[in-house]
Amino acid sequence: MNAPVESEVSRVVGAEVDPTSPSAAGRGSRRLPITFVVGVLFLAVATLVAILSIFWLPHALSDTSGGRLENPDASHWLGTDRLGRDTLSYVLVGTRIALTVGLGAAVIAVALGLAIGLLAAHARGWLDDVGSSLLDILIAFPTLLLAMLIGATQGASLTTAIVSIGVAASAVVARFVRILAKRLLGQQYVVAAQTSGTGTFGIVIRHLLPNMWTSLVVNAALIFGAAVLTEASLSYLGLGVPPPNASLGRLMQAAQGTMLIAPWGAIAPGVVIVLIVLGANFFADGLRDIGDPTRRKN
Amino acid sequence: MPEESRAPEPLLTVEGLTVSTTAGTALVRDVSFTVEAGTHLGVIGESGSGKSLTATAIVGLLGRGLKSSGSIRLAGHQVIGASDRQLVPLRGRYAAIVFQDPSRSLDPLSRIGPQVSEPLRRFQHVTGKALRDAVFSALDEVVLTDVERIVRSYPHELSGGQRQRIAIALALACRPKLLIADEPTTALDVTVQAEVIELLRKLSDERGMALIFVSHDVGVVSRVADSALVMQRGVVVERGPISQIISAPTDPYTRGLVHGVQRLEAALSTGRLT
Repeated sequence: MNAPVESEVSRVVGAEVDPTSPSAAGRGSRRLPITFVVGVLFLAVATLVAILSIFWLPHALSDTSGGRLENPDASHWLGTDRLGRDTLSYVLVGTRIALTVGLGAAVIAVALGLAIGLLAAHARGWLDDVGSSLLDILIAFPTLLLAMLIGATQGASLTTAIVSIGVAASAVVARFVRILAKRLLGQQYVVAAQTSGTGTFGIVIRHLLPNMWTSLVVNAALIFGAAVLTEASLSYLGLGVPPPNASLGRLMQAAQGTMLIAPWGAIAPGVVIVLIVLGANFFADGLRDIGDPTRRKN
Repeated sequence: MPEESRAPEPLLTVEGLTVSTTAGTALVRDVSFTVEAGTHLGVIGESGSGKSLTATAIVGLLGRGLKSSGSIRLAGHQVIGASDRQLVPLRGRYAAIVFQDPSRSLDPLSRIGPQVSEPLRRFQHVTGKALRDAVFSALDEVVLTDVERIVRSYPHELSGGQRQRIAIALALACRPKLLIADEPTTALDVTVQAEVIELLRKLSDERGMALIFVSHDVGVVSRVADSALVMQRGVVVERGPISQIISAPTDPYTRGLVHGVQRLEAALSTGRLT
């Protein structure tokens, strides 16, 4: 028949595939943004590798039996470092640490940012002014510097890295939650709910959170990626996750002196960092496309 | 709360209500009226005359940057100056609002079923199967058909008339003593308008619920209200029984409004605009 009817049909059929349900990923992959699929793929591989590293490593981290600075071979797929340790094993564990820091920081940032942002949106007058100025100051303060400060005073540890990066990032979340919440509070359906006696808590649970959900997850993914980068930078500077834990940033720092003789030791952790951060950003980007009906329509 | 038992106070008493911006510009000036239980009051006025501000001030939900003074007593409780904590229990129980634009008064990301069940759960304390039944009967009551499908729909999947009926069902689910309808028919086309007006009148009569019907349309108000206020630039310029306002308007602005409607109706019946 004629074209409009066909397109109508295909639209209706396509509409049955809920792009947000995980089961649709296979069948409806053509409808999912390619960035989303690639992002999920990168993150899934990184996660599998991280989980694998808990149970199995090619060589123990303390195993120095390999030759020094060897090229990749059947036993050491990514060569060895200058103490004869297996680079691949360190990269696997480093991936796990990077993901842990990213996830922990994202969770802290979202939880803390959500609480502060909602309070700020609820506050009026001078409290709101002072609150948002404090947030702006916190945002203007470089994350790396803040993390260094906390790390230096509290002593570097995995927990310190997670908390300091998470707290620094929470200011960004708080600011956007505040703006989003204020906009939603002005929406007529929120006012309508208030006129029928829905209290503040009910408004937050029923109307604000569901309407912010996509933005929150997108932001969490971006923070995750940024946190992985920040952790690598901190470790590179010697202020991140301390030994005996492996860290991608510290691996790069250790390998840079022997870059010309044994490039694998620096390249491998670098590539992994790029893939994780890229994966997180692709994931966030794709998710934003899926969650935004105005982009989805065309 | 003890004041509630003191008998002869009207359901709503507004005295000298003034709404102004924090910068000091008065948008509503010295408005006074009362609404007895079960009566229907019309509020007529053009855009910007302060009708909607007056309506939202009654439930203490003026936007930021606006403040009200004077006195609003709703079922014996002073609204002006009351904290949110004091106002939340009053809202819905004594007064609920139906807004003008039904496409904006429903949460776009929530299906109709959960939206309607929320106030029912809160005000009628029903859960589970009983709640489901209550949702269905609430939607039946506003003369919606195909309720089975509607409870599973999102607002954007419904027509304007259906959405406005749902907004009315939401307001009624609170069993308010007073329903404030703020231009509830303006965003709807004429045939749907007539149905919604009929519905509001029927439901308020059945429940003995008082109604404040806000509109710019004299004709529409005359079909619902017993008495009316005419507002212009934030001031009440005329008040009285609706029949008197239509037959013998005293204020020039009211005369203009009524004359306009009469002229239009004459033109519709004769086919010629005079």
